[in-house]
Amino acid sequence: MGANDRVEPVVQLSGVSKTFGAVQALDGVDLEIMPGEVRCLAGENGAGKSTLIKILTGAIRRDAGDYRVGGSDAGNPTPAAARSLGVGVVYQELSLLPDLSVEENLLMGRLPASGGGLLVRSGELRASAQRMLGRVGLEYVDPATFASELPASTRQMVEVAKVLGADARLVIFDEPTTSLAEEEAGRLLRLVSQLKAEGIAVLYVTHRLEEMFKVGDTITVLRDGSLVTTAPVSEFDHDSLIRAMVGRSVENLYPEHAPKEGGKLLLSVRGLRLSGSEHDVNLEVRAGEIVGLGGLVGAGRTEILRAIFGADPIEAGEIEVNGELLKSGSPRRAVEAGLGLISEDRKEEGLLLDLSIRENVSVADLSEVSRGGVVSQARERSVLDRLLSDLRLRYDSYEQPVSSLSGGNQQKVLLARWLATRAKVLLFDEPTKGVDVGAKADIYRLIGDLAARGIGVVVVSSYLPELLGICDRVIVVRENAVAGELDAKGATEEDVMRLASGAAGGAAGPEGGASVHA
Amino acid sequence: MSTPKVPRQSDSGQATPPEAREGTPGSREEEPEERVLGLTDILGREAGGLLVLLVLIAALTIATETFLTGTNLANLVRQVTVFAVLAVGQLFVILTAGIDLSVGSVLALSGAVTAQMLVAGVPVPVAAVLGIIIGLLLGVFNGVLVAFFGIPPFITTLGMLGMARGMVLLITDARTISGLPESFQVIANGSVLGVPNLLVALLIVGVVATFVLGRTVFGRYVYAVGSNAESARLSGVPVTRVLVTVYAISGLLAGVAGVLIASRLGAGIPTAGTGYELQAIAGAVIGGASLSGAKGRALGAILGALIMATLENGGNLLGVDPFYLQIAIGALILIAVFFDQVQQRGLRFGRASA
Repeated sequence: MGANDRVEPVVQLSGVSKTFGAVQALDGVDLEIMPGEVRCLAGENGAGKSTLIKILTGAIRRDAGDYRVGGSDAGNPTPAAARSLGVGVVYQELSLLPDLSVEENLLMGRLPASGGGLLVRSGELRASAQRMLGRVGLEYVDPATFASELPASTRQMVEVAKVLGADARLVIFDEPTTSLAEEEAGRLLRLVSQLKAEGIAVLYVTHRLEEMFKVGDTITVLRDGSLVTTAPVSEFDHDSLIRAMVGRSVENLYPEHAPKEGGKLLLSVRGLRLSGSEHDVNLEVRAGEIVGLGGLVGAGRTEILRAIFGADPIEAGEIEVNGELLKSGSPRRAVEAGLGLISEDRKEEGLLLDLSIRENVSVADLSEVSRGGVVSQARERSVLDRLLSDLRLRYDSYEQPVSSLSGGNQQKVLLARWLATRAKVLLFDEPTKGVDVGAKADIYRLIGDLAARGIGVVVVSSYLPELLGICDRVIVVRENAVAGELDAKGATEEDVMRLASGAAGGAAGPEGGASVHA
Repeated sequence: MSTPKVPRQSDSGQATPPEAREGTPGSREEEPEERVLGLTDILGREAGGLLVLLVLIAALTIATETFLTGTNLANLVRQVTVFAVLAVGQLFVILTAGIDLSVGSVLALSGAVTAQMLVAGVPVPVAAVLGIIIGLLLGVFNGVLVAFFGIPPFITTLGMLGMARGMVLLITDARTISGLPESFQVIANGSVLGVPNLLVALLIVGVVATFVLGRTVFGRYVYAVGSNAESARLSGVPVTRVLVTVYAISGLLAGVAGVLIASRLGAGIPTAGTGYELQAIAGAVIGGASLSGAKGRALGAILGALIMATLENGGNLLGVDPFYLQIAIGALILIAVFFDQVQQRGLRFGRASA
């Protein structure tokens, strides 16, 4: 770097660190972006990309390191201060206020006003808004439209106009194309090139590798909160970039699991179409099999899991559990058919925090411990006696509130809930999220045991070593569709990343190709 | 107050850090940790309420000649039954983190319709049952709006409060319907083997509600929905059915209360039950129910209603200005909720170290 000695970098971070509790989110990271440079930020989920962006935009405070904007110390800016320094961000999740008009959104916080700031000068507002829209090629949008009435792609462009309108010198794009179709994404990339031509610096964050090669000048790779490298795009190809992002050794946490060949078909998903998606998802899980669902955050893994379980409405598709067709849209029927879902967000979509361990375990299968609608606590306790000794749950009493348990133990209570129902297929969404390493190994072992007992298991995980470590095969999901399938034994993390980011459409193989996705 | 758990970490003489023991097999077999039993361990959330009630009774027994007499206690039962029945119905709704503001109006409508039917010559059992069914139907209506259309309970039942009150004023022309047959009035004013019928009704409602909430699958579902409706749904709990049922129960019990009031007064009064919804909520809350759901028992709701009725009764006996009584009841609600908060914070404190 530093090709241009005379020009000051637009932003300059040096030695920036940030910890959240025990997690080192960023560790001594340096970053320098020059005017007119398009910098791509690459890294796996949890590598520290979001933290870096939040420090730049003032959303969070750094623990250590310097932050300079245009050569002068920016201190610890508030979000408003960062914006006035010229650092703007276009978020993945749109931040426009849906019930306000486009023009109000564009000039929110600095509406032209008279009468001591009480009356909005609507003519001036309209004119400024039109000017801002014109800059991103949205002359045709009526500034008085409500933001909620615009399609997602247009909203995104309005967002860009808003950032530019605040005289941004650096525009940060955080996964801007995640919610866009191919054509709209192309339009956005052209806009990035246009910004570059105007001398505006761009920090571009994306999981789609091909976009980095298309628009980027330089790439900064983060891994586990540390800077791996910063180099011109020309020094990378797909494989070396993925290696730089992933490059860590697989820990030996995973139990040996011999997949059973030709087990009974327990779960069959045919032509499943999520609402708002155009693609069909097909997948099968046999008895004793552990199937991974890989892919990037937002690729539709959780949505597929929830759709199978009937937690969300679907557009089309058939789900068969143990040979019986499941009526969609009802978790209750799914539970009766033998499915169990262990959600990513245990507290909001799993646990009944006010209730006891006993009540949490038995809630999905009260018919088993009741007669004529009357629950027998003695039978509840005998079910718990049978299940909990296997799970190595740490607790004082069955009657203690489940909220008093640690994350790993709470996960085991949820597992016990589904073991109580004698579920045939268990769907795990990020099963080790927020779980410490010891309990992680326990959960891996339990998942292996479940499969050995003939249960079909589906695991969604963003953590690739885990996915490859515990699964028999991995189905990679991209844009609510199956992008490919890998045998976990032979596959590498690079293979998964390649499929997940759409670099290649084919199955496993080192020669998957670095072709740019068209 | 709850007894904070003794954190394992502080057990002296055990060198193994808890993290290392986290996954060790047979951790269940470890010796149980010592706990000091507190009042709440034995009586649950109702302990505070029971204490307040006992103190009240003791004080009134000493301060007045008349409190502990048969006539006065019969009087107290008459005052408390309607509120206690409403509070139990309210409790079902509150346990799901909902609220039912319509019970006072529904009570009036049930009572007035029953009275009108009686005046028109409908047999007593038929009129009483139909009156109760009106309450049930209005409750189902509330429940459907809440469960299927996602209208907030506060708004749904506020609407019903207005609608039911308007209906009763309309059909009665805002006039009291009197001249109800003796065989109807005996329902609330008679007694079985010396026990007032109202007390029998209260006991039946209390026992059935305690059994339903404490022992049945449906009761368990009520607490599950109140704790976290989405978690409950994903566990296969029929959340919409549970919600409709709790509002139906609240409506049903409001209907029962309406018929009982009409019977006790021998008249259908269109303005009966005004403000009772707040009394019912207060009773449930004083008895330990949490408006955020999943906490509270039928016994508590009845205790809460008893405390309020005893305060009022005692105030009358002592000749205390009723305005002071209102202040006292208001303060009692705040005190009950305050202690609940303190208790929860205490629990959380214990959890942090456990």
